[in-house]
Amino acid sequence: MCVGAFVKGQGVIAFGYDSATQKFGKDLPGNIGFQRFIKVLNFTSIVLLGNFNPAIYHPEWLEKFKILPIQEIQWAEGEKTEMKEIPYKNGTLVLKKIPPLMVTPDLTELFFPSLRLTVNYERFECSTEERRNFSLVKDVVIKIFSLLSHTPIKAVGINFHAHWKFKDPSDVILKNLFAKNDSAFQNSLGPDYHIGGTIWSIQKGVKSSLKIEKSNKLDNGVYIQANYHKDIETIQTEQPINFIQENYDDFINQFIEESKKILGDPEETWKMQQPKK
Amino acid sequence: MENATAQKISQESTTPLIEDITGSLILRDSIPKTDPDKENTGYHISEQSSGSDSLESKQIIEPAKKPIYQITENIDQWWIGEVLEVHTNEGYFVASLRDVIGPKVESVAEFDIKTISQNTEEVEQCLFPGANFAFYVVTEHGIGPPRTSSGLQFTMPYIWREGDNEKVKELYRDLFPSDPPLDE
Repeated sequence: MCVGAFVKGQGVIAFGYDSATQKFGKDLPGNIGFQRFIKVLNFTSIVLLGNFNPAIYHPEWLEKFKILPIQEIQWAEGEKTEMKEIPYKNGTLVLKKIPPLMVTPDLTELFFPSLRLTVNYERFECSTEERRNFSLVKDVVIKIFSLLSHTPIKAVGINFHAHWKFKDPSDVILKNLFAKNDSAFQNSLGPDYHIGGTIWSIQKGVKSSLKIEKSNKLDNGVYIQANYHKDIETIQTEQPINFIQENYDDFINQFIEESKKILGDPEETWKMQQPKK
Repeated sequence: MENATAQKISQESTTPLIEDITGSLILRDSIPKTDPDKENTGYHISEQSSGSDSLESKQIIEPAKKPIYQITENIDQWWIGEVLEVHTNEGYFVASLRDVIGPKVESVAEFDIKTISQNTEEVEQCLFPGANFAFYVVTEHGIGPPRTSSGLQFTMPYIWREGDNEKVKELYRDLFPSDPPLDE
């Protein structure tokens, strides 16, 4: 079965899908039975640099102020520490399953079903590997720093990752981009070398970097990583919040457009398999 | 419930499979004939093995687990509020509400003081002009129809204020006059 190709919304792109070959493509013939969205991005994170108090970011605080819905907190709180001993060589190996919530004065690490929160004294990071939770990450960061409005902030970074597969194998694409005259590399490294690179630019005061290299998730695929960084020296969170609110969705589009201009349209994208609970 | 299902299956012999209450499929021939006296043991012994004394030959089927009802919620709206006026005698306060997630709309609303807490001391601590709070509307899903509710959650005032540094230094000088001052 094949499905139609169209572009809709912000950063959500659909192509044809052939269930027989399990391939996506813009030029697949056949019936347009239903429309299927390809989740073209695999990861997002919003990072703030500044001065933070990790102990504040407690699950109960997040629940009390309705920053996250109750089911997220309950899921994480329901996970217990588990110890398992298995024979190993002449002794025993103890495996410890760490619960997904850790709150200490120095470091907070919270793993919720939808997102992950990591905070230390100088760095705050909220991330997800699910495309449907990208807007949740943005909302959670905005809510948190609307409440903690006197947090000193130095910089904000918005990050995206993607694994795309193209018609041509990754080595051909990457060598074409970064090693057009590859005889020098071949002479010293042999024909089987891999290459990748990072492209930096500054647009409207935002430092952006696009890292492109061989994917470790998709065979012959390409891994793309974007960072949009803005230096903001402030003791009020209004400016960083406005920056995130006004630019986050645009950066998603920008990342996809720039990647497609440089690399072309993807035929396949990698999607993380959900671990069975 | 399971007895009724078993009877139904024995009558409809052409049906090879049935769906139990957990939603999983089990083979018709393995439907247990439940003994009322043994129902509380938590296990049912298959009819096929009822004539045998050997436990190994008995087919043991775990009973269907009872569904666990868990409340989930959607956070429909979320605002940052700032108290503008407090009318204690009239029992209400006026606050501005800022939609930080959606379009930047600021509105002014009146709230009943009782919605904060029934505890007067707690209300006195958090309710003052300039106090910040989160105001949210959630839809709860669980037993029965979805239920929409709202709530207010006040942020505690900052303990360390402008000028507190100087006050601490002054206090330190008074308490420990022989010590060098804090700022040196």
